[in-house]
Amino acid sequence: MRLSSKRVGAVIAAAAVCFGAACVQRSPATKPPKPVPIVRPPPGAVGIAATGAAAIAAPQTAQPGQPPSQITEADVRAYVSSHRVPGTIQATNVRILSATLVANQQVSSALGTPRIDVSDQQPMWVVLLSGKFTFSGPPRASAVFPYAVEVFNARTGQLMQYGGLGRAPRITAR
Amino acid sequence: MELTPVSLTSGDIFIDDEGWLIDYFSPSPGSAMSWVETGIDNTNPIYYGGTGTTYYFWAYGLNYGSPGGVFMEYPLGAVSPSDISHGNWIAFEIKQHPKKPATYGVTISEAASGTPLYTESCASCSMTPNTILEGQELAGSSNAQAPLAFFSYNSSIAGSTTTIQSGDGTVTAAHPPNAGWFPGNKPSETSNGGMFFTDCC
Repeated sequence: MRLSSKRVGAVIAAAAVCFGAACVQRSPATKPPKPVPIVRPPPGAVGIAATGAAAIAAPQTAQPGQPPSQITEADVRAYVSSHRVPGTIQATNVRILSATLVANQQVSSALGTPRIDVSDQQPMWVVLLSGKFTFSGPPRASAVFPYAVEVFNARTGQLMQYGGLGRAPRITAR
Repeated sequence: MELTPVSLTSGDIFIDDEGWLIDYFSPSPGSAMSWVETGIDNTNPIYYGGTGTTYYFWAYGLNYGSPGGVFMEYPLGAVSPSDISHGNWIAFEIKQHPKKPATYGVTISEAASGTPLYTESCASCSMTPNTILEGQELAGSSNAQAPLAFFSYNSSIAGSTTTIQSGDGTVTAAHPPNAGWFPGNKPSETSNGGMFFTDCC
């Protein structure tokens, strides 16, 4: 199977490539809705917490008096082992290096990446992988990463963050 | 920009509608590139036999192509079915912090009311953006689908000044995905930044 990345765009510049025979231009038949002037949120307004994208099935709800249920390391490793790293258009020699349970506030400091928009104490599974990972980016973006990471909300199983890293992070269990 | 979110079907990798604020190789050719992006995405979590869900996201690439480079994406949450069915306009803004040049804020909000949906930020996204891009990105080999999505109030922000796009820029379309300025609605023909469309496949 041939995998490719294509983009269409406007405003300043965009690159696009067409593979295959079905490259037929179409014109939209639908009348567009009337645009509305953008009202900016008031200064300091805050949006809702992130819930991520569907990934691992959520654990069963805990019984009253029991600690909240969480997905297990086995759940995380099984999922990551059986699914492509999201967003990669190519991934080879993939190997799971670690699966570590940390509080959300530790994720950004360990990875050196922006904070996930949930509470600081939210438990997260951080999975670090090695291999050769190619992600899609804007036109002319080209990079192969030696490390990839996937971060899951331990309570919901939702995927909260993923991507490629040029250098290995240090992740310590809480 | 504002966008009418649609229900995307990812096929075997992903499809999205989005905007990028890009630093193309500054300060000189050969330098790494960096960017911040936001929009709606359907990245198939199953890839083979599944369709995934359409969710809001933001992402960034920093020093992309250099040894210390990073690319990270943050799925934020599912797009409301009512926003899709009603063709509601959702605004996406990427803006440099006025006092912290390396910080870029990403705001996703209801365009008509200003109600924020998500407010995110990258505090270490040091870059000198020189390009704005919007449109659809498709990765994969089969089964992706995307109904018509529209982009309008296409604008650039410099400091506290917002300038609505008046030039027609450069349009490319791979067919698939399909894209272009809606007839009679180029930025040079309107006062609202034009009406761009995408669809697939």
